[in-house]
Amino acid sequence: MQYISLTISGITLGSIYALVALGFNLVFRTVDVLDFAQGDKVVLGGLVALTLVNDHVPLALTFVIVMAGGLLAGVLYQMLVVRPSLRRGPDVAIVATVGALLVMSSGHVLIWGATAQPFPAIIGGSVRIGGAEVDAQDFVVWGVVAVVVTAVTLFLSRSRYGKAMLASAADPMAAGAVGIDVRQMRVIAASVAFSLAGLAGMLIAPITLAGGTVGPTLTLKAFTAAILGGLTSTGGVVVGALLLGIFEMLVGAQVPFAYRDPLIFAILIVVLLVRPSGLFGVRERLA
Amino acid sequence: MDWKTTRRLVAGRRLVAAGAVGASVLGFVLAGSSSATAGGTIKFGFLNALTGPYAVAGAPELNGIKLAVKDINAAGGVCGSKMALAATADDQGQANLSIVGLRKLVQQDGLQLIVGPGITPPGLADAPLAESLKVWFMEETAQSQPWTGKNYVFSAITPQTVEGQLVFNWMKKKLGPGKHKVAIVYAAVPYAQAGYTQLNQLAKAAGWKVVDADSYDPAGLTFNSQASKVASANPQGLMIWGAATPADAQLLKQIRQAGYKGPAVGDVAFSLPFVPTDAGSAADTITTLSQLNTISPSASTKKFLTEFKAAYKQSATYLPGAAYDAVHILAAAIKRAGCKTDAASVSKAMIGLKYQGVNGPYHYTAKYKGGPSVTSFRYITYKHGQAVYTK
Amino acid sequence: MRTLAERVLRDHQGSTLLGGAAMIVGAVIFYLAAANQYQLSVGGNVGIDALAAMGLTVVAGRAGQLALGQAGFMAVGAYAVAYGTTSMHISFLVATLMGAAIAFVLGLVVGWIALRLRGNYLAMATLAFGAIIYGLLQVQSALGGLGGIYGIPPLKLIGTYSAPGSAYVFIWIVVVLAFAVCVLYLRGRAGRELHAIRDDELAATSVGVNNTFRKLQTFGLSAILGAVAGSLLAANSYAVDPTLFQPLISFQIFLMIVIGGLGSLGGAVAGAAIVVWLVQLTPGTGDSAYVALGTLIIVLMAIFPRGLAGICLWLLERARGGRRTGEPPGARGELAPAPDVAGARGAEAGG
Repeated sequence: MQYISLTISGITLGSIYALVALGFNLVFRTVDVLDFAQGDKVVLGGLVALTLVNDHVPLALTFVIVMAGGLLAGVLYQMLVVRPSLRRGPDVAIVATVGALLVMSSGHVLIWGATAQPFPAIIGGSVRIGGAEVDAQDFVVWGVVAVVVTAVTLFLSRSRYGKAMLASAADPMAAGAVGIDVRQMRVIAASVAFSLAGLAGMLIAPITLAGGTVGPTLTLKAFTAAILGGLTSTGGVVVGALLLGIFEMLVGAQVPFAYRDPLIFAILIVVLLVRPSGLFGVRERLA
Repeated sequence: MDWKTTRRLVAGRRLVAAGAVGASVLGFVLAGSSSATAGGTIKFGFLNALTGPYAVAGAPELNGIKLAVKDINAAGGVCGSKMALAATADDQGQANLSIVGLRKLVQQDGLQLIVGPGITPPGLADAPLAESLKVWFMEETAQSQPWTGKNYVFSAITPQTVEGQLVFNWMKKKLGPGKHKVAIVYAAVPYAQAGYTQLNQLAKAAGWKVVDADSYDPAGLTFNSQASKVASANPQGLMIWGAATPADAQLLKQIRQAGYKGPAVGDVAFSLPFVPTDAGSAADTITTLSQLNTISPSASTKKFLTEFKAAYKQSATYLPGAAYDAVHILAAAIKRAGCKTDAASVSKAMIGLKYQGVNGPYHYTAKYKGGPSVTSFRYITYKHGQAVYTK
Repeated sequence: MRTLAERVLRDHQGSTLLGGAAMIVGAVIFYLAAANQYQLSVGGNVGIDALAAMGLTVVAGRAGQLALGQAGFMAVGAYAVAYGTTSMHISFLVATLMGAAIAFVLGLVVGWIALRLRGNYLAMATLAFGAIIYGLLQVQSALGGLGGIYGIPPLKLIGTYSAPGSAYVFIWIVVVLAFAVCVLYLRGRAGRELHAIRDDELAATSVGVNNTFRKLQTFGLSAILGAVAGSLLAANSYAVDPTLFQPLISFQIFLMIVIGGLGSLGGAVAGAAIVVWLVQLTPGTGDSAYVALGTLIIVLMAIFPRGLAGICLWLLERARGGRRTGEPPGARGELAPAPDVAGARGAEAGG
């Protein structure tokens, strides 16, 4: 049944979007900035992973390196790109992220070359489920994303740092008043976001080539996912991302390929206008 | 030494220094604005997509050029002079950047002989400019519009209309007479989209019905949507026009996985080495055009293939093959022009030039200035990962 | 009775005119000093980008709307000329007007969207708008699909301007005219109202400013300027294809106005010149140039958010005798020559 296999691919794609959208969500809530460079961070993650894999670094270790590297990169990113300009207002910081986007999208070309490169499959083989082929690769992606999302959710709701981060997201002044170091919370948020993006890059590379010019498109799609679910709700962005992934696959099967992305972006604009709080978000004024 | 003498000596040295600087500046200026030869070197330029999404074609072509220069010089050069790739310009596959790059090569770098772009829009945009600038311009594009009616513009690639006809002919022979249902899938690049347009016209003219026409992202690797569309449309034949990227192989593989079992034919992009490696057993199910003969290469082709692999750690394809041939054709034209290297003489010498290249036999005439003729193509398929001839 | 010099140096409007004069002088000097046609053709491209950048300045700088879809409007103008002159056989002028009209309507649509969104969300929405146009251009259609349209006849308006030198003059005359139009627009009531809207929308409404009308009008103007830039691009390049209008191009134009100084028309032109020339002069590909420029933006946003124009204004003010105590531009969280609400909030929340 075609629909089943499309849905399965959709869930895989959607779970990768979920990682990126979660990053948006964390940064947006704590720093009040939409990071335009988010998609390019994903590309970087994929390229770094590719380099490691080509140097025969075992897969599990590559995962760890990419995620840890992402955490570190996120710290640097927050301190060098966002914080200095955030002093002057979130709009200024947004422009700084556009600068970061240009640095990353051209920078990765200087290091890795312009040609997108194939990434070896994480794991081969497939399983038949109910008449459709499910690649073992899909299971890996689902597993990894499920674990990571659970970890992040637990972090936010149970751990001290997580709760402090949510507090400073909700009300920075009040959080500061009770002794939470808001700046530190922001660094943590940015760091986790970069790490999630890097991981997403590594997971998406076997599906699409590593490298290339997909940064801005990915940013837009992840943002669409986040908005669909509700930018301010952790669970919401995950649901929104899954929905987007499935939609992209199913609709992609109906309309000619060239119309698929314009359709998704048109939906983004419509959602922004009609129900910007998404399915699960808190209603807030957007203008 | 008294101070007067010292002063005169210093002044003298300054004068000499100034003169030396002046002379070298003059030398630079003169050298920069001279024509192609200067002290025994034949200089030419290369304009192509060296970065950007189309670099997947441009970068190997640059390698082909470098190898050609090496081989020609090792064999003694041209008319006693060495050939040299003096400057490159990167157009990223974009028309407006290509026009600027062409001007730079001609007006800033002073070159009159240029091997040009491999992507369609730049190729179309550059041709009129090259003609008006009167520089010898050998493109690597698969269209005939750039060189039609021009004196200075040529191409090393066979016009894709030839390919399209061959692709269609195979399917026609396979399906026999009558009205059939076919599907056409093409990569989202200008060259492949143009191929689709042609195949679509040929199909309609034959009374066939195109039940599925779809494109795919040459940088992607999941094509469930396209594959399931083909499978559910269940055409009697499938024609694919690729982009010469690994995506072509993945698309084929996934179309087969989706359950489509009918005949499939592809353009020359499917003769590239990653098709048998990446598509696995699906490669055995497609017939494709092939130009660079890797199955039973001639001695010179074999030399090209081995040298290319050794030097650049990648298998040569017809794209660097065309670039390799282009430089050799330039050398041959210069010889034919009586060792003159100005654009007008070289371009004139192209008329009537015949050359046996790695991609096939070239024959440039007053009316036809494109790549190897239809006889350079053969149909191949794969058996256990090896390319084999077929009908 | 103030002398012209005094007026020019003190008055904010005066500094705009100063910037305009500098632009004209710069363009003329470049024309005379250019060594060959290649340099003139680059100069022509600078003019085209400057035009698009000025359009973006009007909306992003003066009206404070973060718009990242300028390439979409350029595409409209470019394809209008491309299709119009090759398939409809209309003249360059008529095709440009057609493109400008379509772009104007689209600009109103985007403006309408801008009424309901702000900041982050508007930026994303405009980016999506540009991406939609880019995607639709690639569909196999009468507009050439991925291959685009080629064989576009050169610029023609009472005479043909195909040589880079004459094209340069034509383009820059259009740029100067557009500059004048923008200055008149922003100098008048529209400018003052936009200023008020940017400062505090609620307050502006309370004094009788029609936010809706102004915002729509501004987006419309910005769209027209982008479309004219695109029309010039098409006739000057003889061919257009979708890659010329991908989302990255919108970012690059945004880059130009940020470097030049958001809100400054002269800055937009300067930014265009800097970006285009840096890319041309960097050996190899434009990538290293963009890495450098991206880094420049990050640094600028931290230190001089007002960009080049801000630096110039600051220098002018210091030269006037230091009425301001050497405060670096944008210290109070301003992006453009006026404080804005978002800036104040950002300053509170810290980094």
